Amino acid sequence: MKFWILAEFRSPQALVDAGRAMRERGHRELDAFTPYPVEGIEDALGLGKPIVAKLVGAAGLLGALTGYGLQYYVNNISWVMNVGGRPPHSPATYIPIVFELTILFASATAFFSVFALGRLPRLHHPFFEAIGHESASVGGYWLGVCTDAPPAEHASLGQALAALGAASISVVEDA
Amino acid sequence: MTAPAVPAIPIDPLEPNAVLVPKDDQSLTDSLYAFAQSKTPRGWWLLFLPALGGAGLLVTMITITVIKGIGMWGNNIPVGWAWDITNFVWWIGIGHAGTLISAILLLFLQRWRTSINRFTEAMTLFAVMCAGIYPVLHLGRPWYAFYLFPYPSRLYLWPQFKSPLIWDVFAVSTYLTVSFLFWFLGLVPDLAGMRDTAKTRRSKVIYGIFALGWRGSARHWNNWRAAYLLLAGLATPLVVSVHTIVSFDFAVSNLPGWHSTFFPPYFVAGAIFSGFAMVLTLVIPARRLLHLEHVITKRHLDNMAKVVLATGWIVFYAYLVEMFLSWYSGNRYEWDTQVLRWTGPFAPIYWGALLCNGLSPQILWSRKARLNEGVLFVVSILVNIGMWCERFMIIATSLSRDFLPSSWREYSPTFVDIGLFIGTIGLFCTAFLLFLKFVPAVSASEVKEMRDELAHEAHAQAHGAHAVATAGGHAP
Repeated sequence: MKFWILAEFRSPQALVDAGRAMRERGHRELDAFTPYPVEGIEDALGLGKPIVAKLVGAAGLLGALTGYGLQYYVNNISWVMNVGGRPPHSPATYIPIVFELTILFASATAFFSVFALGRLPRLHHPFFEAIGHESASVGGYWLGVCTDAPPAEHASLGQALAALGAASISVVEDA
Repeated sequence: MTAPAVPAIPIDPLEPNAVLVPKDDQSLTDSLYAFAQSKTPRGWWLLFLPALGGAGLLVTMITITVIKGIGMWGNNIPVGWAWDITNFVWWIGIGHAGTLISAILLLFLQRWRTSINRFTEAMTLFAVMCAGIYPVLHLGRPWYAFYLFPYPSRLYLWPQFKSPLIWDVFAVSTYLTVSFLFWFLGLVPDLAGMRDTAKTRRSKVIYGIFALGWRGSARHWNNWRAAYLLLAGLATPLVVSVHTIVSFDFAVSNLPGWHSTFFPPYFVAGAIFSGFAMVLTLVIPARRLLHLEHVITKRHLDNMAKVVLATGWIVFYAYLVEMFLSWYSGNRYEWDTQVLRWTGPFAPIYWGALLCNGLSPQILWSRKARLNEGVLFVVSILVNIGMWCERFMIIATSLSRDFLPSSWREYSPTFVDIGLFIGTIGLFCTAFLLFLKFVPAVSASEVKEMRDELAHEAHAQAHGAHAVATAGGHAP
């Protein structure tokens, strides 16, 4: 059974410092809950670079190929229509739709990847069990340490967090 | 809980990046959410009911159009495009400033956008919705609108991919989708904020569902930030492409007054110009109604007024270039169309456009005028009218006077045309007022993030100055 030790800090700097300190102590399953993206938290928690850009690039390419393929198929394979002797395959006229589908596919991927990579929508999460968790979207900066240590050891973890400046500490069971 | 210490931030309304937030996180958040969370004031209802009436008018006029056909409109041959396409182009153009503010200004690191981007993105969404109504109705049999999309059918009925009208379908539907995604992605953290500060169980559940379980996790923010920036980067060329393609609808035909490679930049400049004017029209009353003067400062209005002035000059330059090109082309028909715009039956529309778009923004050279909400509001309304006149002038003058005098014909709108136009304004206002009521109109998470950055910079600057002073002291 795993537990989340959740500590609320009162400033973004305190959160980043505490996150870095907990990571240096060997905790790997860390997360922060903040009202806005806090500068430097991804380094402190060792989150690495997001892969969204790569997905978006791939989706954009797919969109471009779809746009071109669709028009090529319609104008050259499915129904070849001769309008005023213009060539059925005329790449210049394909540009606008290729462009629009590139943007459409890339944008949809940018949007949905945030939720897919974050395992959202998930209406309930152990974090919401913490008393006062509402401040995480107002002005509270929460650090979460996920641990499989037995409950007897939680107190020492809590003390460590309090020493780093936590204003309040809760323990919730991981679902 | 004690309030956290808030670093001092300069409270000068004209300081470049200032947001007047001498408040702690709690009261700042409350002030931004207050309108959506407290009892609806009478002023909102006074605006909402007429707007709803307008939307009702729209439904009536659409019903008439669908049942009786577009013969109920004033359109004729040769004026096959009239108020419908004018309104379409006008609304789409208005939408563009929303994307410009939220996307392009984000890429240019213009922080003042943070206070108004939610407004303007909503404006974009609703304007594009209004725009989309017209071409669909203009199909005559709108229930066949699905013919516009490429789907495999037994009839081999494919769209004509070599026509700008089909490009338009792709451009506008992509634009609507991307605008919605961009708006909603920015909104999710605030929906979570609304959930967490909700006063009743019911609103907690409703906002909770729309927030999709957002909990501000660092992992989520990491992806969110990347995706938001990418969406801004994707939306920026999209805006330009959409109005470019709209202008192709005209430029690709060989009608005098339309057939010009000059149309794409001409249309895009006009779009940004009219859109910024519409932002001013909406923001000036809304910041009062919602008591948002501390985040949408006079500095913001000042900045927007400057953009209106600058783009106004681009539009005016475009008028001059258009005149020059029709003369320089040496084409008799081109030049005659130009002269008929000045002197023909639609001359008042032409001069109205020139007066509203060319002359009225010039008052914004004065700093006093830019800081006066009344003046700004009047100018913004005049620009909206002027841009409508411009769109109508381009469309109707060219169509009603083409090559052969035997095919010339006048145009006048019917009550259905007028009703549809008033109706879309009603729909737009209804949607916008509902947005103000149910959604935080200013992005609280972005405002807080910006304030944190500003505090950081102020701190670093103070330190830097201190370091320089000590270094100077040690110098020989």
